[in-house]
Amino acid sequence: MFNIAVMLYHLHEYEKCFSILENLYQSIEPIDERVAHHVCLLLLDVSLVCHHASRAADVISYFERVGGNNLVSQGDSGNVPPQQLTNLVTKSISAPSNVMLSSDPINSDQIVSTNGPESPLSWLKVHLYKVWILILTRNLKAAKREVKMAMNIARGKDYSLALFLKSQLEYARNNHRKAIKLLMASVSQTETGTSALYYNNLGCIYYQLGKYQTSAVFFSKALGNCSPQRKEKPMKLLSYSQDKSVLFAYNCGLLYLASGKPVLAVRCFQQAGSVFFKRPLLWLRIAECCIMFSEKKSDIDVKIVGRGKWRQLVIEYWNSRNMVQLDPNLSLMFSKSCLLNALHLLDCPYENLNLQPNSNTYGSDQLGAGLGQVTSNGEAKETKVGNSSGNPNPLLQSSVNEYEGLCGKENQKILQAVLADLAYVYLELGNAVKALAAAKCLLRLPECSRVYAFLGNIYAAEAYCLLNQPKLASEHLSSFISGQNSSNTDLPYTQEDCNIWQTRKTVDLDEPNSNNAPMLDQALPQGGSDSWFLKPEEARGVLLADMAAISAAEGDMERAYEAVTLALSLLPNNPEAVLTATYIDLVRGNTQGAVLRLKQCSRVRFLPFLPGTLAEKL
Amino acid sequence: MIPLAQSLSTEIRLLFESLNESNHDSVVRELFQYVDYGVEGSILLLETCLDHFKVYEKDLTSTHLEPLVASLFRKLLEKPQFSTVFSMSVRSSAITEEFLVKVSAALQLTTNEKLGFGLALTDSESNDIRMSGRNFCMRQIEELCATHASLHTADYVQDVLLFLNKSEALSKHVDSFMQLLSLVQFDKDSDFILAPLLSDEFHNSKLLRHMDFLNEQNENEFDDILAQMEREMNMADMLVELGYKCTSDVSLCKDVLSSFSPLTEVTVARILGTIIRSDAGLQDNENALSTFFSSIGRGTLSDMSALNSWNTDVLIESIKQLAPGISWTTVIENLDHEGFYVPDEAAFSLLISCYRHASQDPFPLAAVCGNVWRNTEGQLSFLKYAISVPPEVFTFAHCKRQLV
Repeated sequence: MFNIAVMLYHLHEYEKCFSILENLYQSIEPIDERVAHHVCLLLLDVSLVCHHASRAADVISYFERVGGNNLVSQGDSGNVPPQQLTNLVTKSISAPSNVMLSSDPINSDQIVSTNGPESPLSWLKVHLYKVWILILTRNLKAAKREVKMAMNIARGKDYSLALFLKSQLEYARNNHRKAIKLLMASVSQTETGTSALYYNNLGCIYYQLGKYQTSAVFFSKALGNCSPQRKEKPMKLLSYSQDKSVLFAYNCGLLYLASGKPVLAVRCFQQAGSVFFKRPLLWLRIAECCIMFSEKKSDIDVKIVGRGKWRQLVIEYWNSRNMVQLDPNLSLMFSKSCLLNALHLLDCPYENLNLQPNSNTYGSDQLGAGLGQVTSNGEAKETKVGNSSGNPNPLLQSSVNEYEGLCGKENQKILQAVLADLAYVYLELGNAVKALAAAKCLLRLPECSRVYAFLGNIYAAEAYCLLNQPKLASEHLSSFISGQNSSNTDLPYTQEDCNIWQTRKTVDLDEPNSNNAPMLDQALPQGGSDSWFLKPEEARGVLLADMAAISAAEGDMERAYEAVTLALSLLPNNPEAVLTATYIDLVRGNTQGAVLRLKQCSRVRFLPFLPGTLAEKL
Repeated sequence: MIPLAQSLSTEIRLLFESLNESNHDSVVRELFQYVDYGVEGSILLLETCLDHFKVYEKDLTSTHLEPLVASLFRKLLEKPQFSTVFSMSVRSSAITEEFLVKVSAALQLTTNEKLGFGLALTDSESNDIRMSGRNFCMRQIEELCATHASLHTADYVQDVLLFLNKSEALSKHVDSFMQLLSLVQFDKDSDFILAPLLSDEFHNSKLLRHMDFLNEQNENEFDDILAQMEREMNMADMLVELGYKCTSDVSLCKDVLSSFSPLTEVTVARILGTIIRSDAGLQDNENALSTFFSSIGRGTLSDMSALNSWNTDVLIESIKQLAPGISWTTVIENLDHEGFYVPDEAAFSLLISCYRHASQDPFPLAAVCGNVWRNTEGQLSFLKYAISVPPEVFTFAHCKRQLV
């Protein structure tokens, strides 16, 4: 069984490997000591890769219980029995959410056997694993102390692992310059095998610094570094195992998604999918790529028909554009499937939504959405940890508990993003019934943030519009209107509401769109200083544009005009707001004004008419 | 749009009635167009279909409309908005499971199509439709599992699995459905989408089969991605990220410029476009350049004095040395790229001084005012300053077409 697990490990089938080792670990007592030791080490690795922090903590405490003697004796057994793998792990955790793949060559047998009978080194290993767990669970203060201890033990010997981890720690603390330095220091002592990991981690750091080009250079170097292993014929298990391209691919995908290149990003994510297909975040990201791709084509094309006196302007009906999708892997249909997968993995049966606030139910195969580490959390824990340094188990345990709470919260956030995206995609596909279901589901979430509540209401309103029920639609919008006058709206949410999301840095790309399917260009973060959401002011503009559309549909042109004028003052270049305004002008008989509006919008293109396209005459 | 609805549905009805053997193809084509008109067109079409359907209900076999209605219905069913279209079209009549069975029998839907039909109804707002859709689905799945009929396509498989996972009562069918699936050979894409939904045993059985051809494919895909990544690299942005120090001296600048893709006119134009917008205010907190050099193993750089703007002389000199054959007229033509914009007069002057340094020829006026650029905003910003600056900076004097 153990050997199967090792094989799976090398094939990057981590989840499966984990479940086998789980079973072995449950009945660890009767197993031969040495084998047991290996089982534990591998289990430790795998649970860290899979983010099963609590199991990893268990194993650590098991090691500590079994005691130092064992470790020493393990260290002595330089000759590994044949049925045990010669080369246990050269490993890399990749945290799809955290861009950082903590590449981590904590390599049980290699280190043990090459360094012979020195017990401190084995202890070093335990320390390093602990650091790793602490970083994973984001207890950064404790991790820092643990790293220091490890460095002391490692003094004069092989530092590189400790440095590698320390670099990762600094990265987690957003101390990027220091992380680069440590990383560079570590590599000078390490053999060439880890250079791909080294480049990858540099890529992650530069990504966090907002230097996407530099980051891309490093990621491509990391991938390039793996290519000899990929090409080796015949495939050897070890070289397959050392080829971490699949793991790097996720990072590349995230980078290209953030730099606005969805086509390449989606290819990267698909490669990463062979390992991360159990993680909802991967599916959310792929869906975001598709959404981003579909948004690229949202300018208004105005066709010019006829000449001179008979010249007329014709605007194509938006729906017909969405019907044609060339690349099946970037279509909204595909993104719908991805979002449904994410939803399934988040364990959200979307009819009878029974989400317990108790996050522990999500325990296992979930991942953190937060790219940035929440330092306040580390600090909060410090007090509890303070007096327990003699006995690290409670420390690990409390970190693990905190971490599971965190994961639950993050899953809540992913869930909100997934539902909002899903509602948006269904709207774009013209399936109002399903869009409405998704939006309502989003609004029912107990922890729905204000930003997403706004999106949920907007999408629900649009779905009702498509279903020809403007009454119900305006009900959804009315919660944002204060007083009698429809133009008197507050900001639907504040900058702080956006900032809550920003500190945790959950990338999100969806945006409100109004009745006529508006979309707003959304600036992606550059170095994390801009908002990834619509600014509150813009959100207000979208709201007003929607209300204008509803009023227009109900035939109340005066109110519609008032609202759309305000909306345009907030969003002068939003194509849908411009179209709504144009429509209202036309209904009011102001043809000149309508044409002027189109001319003033920078996103309108005037094109000669090509026969054969369906058109809605203005 | 709303006043159109009436006349459109009359039109559809007329088309139905006018159908005969001679005009069959053209009528079908015209009706199919309504499906492409989006939700409204589809609703009208389906309503009319259903109306007809009821009229001929008693005598289904004798009507020549039957195959037409069936093919229209299929076409609608393929569309993602089917569930909306359906629930909008039938809102007046009560839907029962029996009705669904009748409809699908009359239209001779395949099992797979029936599944899709049922699934589309399971998210409906109306309780009746939802329940009957659900029961209808259940029946289809049970039937599928019982007869071991093979699924020919992967359509709807994801939806079915999600549907089955929704409640305890349904999940008992998951296993038998999985068995059905194990007989199906999916293509790569559906394999990908279904991965998280399938059970572990399922994965194990596929793992080995997967291994063999996966490697080959993966290998090529990664090479493609890598090549694509290299193409996507943007020298201009890279310069900005590395900071002004890149232009400290010619040899260093050449080193930076030559480390990536070959310098073409397009690249140079992008570099020019970028540096004129970033000639002041770049931060260099991380000492980016020297860090970058040492991390790619080029050794450490000796300390350089900090620069607070681009040294364009060095930059242009390096470009000229690296790419001596470059056509500067083509470079100016390539300023027509997405993102090019002249923010102020200083930027304009910088751009012109770069050109003067690079080329002895007079400025290629045809490139900037000979035709309308794709990036009109950028072109206008250029022309605005071209006109307003004093003639020693920029002149139209050498223009071939002068006002007399």
